[in-house]
Amino acid sequence: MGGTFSLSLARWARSSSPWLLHFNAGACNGCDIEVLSAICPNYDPERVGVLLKPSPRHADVLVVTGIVTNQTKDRLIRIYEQMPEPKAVVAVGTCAISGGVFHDAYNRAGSVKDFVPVLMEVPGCPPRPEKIVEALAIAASKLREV
Amino acid sequence: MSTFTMLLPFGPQHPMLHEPAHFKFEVDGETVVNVTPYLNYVHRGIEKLLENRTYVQGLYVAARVCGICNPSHTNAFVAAIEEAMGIEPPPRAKYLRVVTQEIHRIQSHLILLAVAAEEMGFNSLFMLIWRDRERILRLIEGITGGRVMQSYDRIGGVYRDINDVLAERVIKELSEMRERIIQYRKVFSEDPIVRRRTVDIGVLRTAEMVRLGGVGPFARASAVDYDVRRDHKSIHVAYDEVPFNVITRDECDVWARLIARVDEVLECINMIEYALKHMPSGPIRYRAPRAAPKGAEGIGRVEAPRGELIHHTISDGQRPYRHRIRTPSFANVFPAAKAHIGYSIADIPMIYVSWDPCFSCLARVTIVDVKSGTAKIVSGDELRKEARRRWEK
Amino acid sequence: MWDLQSLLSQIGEVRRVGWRWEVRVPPEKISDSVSKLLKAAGMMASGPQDLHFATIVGIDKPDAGEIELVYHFMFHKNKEYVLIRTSVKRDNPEVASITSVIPGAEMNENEVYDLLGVRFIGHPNLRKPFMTPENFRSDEFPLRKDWRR
Repeated sequence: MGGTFSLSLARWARSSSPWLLHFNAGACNGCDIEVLSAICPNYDPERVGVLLKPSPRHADVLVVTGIVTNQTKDRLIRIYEQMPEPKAVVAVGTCAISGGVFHDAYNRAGSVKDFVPVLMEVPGCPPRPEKIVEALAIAASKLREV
Repeated sequence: MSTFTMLLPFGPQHPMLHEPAHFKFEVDGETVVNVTPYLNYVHRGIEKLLENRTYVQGLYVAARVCGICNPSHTNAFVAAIEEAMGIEPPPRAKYLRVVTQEIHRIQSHLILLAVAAEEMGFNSLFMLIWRDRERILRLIEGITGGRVMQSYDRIGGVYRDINDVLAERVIKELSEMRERIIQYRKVFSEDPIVRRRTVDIGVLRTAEMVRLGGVGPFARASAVDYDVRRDHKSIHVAYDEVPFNVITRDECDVWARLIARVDEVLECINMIEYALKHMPSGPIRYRAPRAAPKGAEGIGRVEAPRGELIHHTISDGQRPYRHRIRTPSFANVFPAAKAHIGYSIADIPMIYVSWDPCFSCLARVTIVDVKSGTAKIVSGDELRKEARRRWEK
Repeated sequence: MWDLQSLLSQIGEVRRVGWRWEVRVPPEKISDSVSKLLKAAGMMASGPQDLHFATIVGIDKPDAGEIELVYHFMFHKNKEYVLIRTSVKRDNPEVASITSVIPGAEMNENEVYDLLGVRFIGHPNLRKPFMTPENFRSDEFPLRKDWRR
């Protein structure tokens, strides 16, 4: 009884104020800096409790940027597995979706969706912060349904 | 033995913001005794990739070596190719290149200053600087059409022109920006918290810096008088016609690195104003050949926000036979690693940001005590707490 | 007056290309030549360390059966840029490390070893997964022309 209530409370809080984990799987920093811009003063999702967290165990939404390199693919999977349920993955940038200009680079292991289930993809090189914020909002609302 | 896993970005060889690189810190008690960087996390193989691209296609790959200083990479790439082809851009294009290079230097330095403010726990300063950076980004978008990625330089010129209305807006916004930067300079030079976290921390003397090969503001803060803009007479950018001062400081510590960047931002604003007011008229682009003679070589040297950037190309007709990129952070990672030695664990974040790499990278650090041989994983937050604890003592 | 051209001609075959000097030396003389450059930089300026080492460019040339190495240097005093070029055998690429005279070359030499397989004799810490990921074999050198994944 109490368990159900606290679970639904947690779910409500989580979907309203998702905590983010940003992981760079081999990006050029363009997307990374726009992810950072998205949570900084001009758009300021921090005022509704959207925070960037350093630890996967605290995070609800995993924001992945960049091509997944051979060296980072295991770390990506490990980070995803460390996150508590329910969780969502947002792939930001063309590189994370399809490889972009790096599609035939020798050190590319694949797209993000080849390794972890992706909920939202935000195309662009890099995408604008507005689009990233929108994707995060949609991902948060999906968290409630899970 | 100790391990320090951080996210630090790496082009072919480019550690910076937010990207996975791995530093191994060996500590004795509280003191760092040795640092080994591991840099293969974001290796994408761009140098090999460029061998399979024509010059025009390569332009877009070169821009994506690094998102934050992408105009520098495009500029160096274009300078190398233009040298191999033996062409020179029109005068107006040279001035426009100065404008885009310098305005990008402003935003890049503002990132570093914001991050440094955050690392020392000065969050309001971080937010204020970040807000100003957003205004600069809007100007960049107005001039080049892209907020972050631009590919503004083309082989033989630039991609689009600037009109008088926009030039006036840029000058007006930048003169407002100057007031704010002067304010930040005051904060960085007078605030006791800033000074106690930065003065006499991470000292690397001039001779040591030269020996280890540091470049850019990081080296200039150690009184190494080297700036590619002044010292390389490039025919691809109009730095020889735009007056500016090279900022050097002789304090050699973290504080000097921050202040040198603040001063460079002020210098950049003057340069942009001068370039916009003295812009020659004429075409912005010459029609460039598709190919360079086989075996022709070109070296593009550019002062990126983080220092000397080198693109060395050897032509194979329509595409490079070999294209080497030496990024400034690659030159700086070795002296930067040495700058940690002898300072405490709590100083790692400050010294680390002072050479302008990444900060969320400090998320997970393994620190191993040499004496006891135990290992513990420390987060960036804990490192900051550690610093505060030491400071309260 | 300090004459760069006569100094460089003592090191090897010198020519002026655009804004830079190029010197070709045999591979066994590389560390000797770099010491001479350092000494010259020291004569010209305050200390023996006023030589900026920028990078090493490795170029694989399978047709000639060799790997060319291009060392980039700059004199801090007069900002002259010098390239020292040398070629090593492709089937047994070995050259003396310059880290004993220029410690800043450590990372650059390691990178050339990792991507092209040139062994630098006397390098303090030549490691193989440096740029390449851990799942590459130790004989895979991606920047060689005949390398395929």
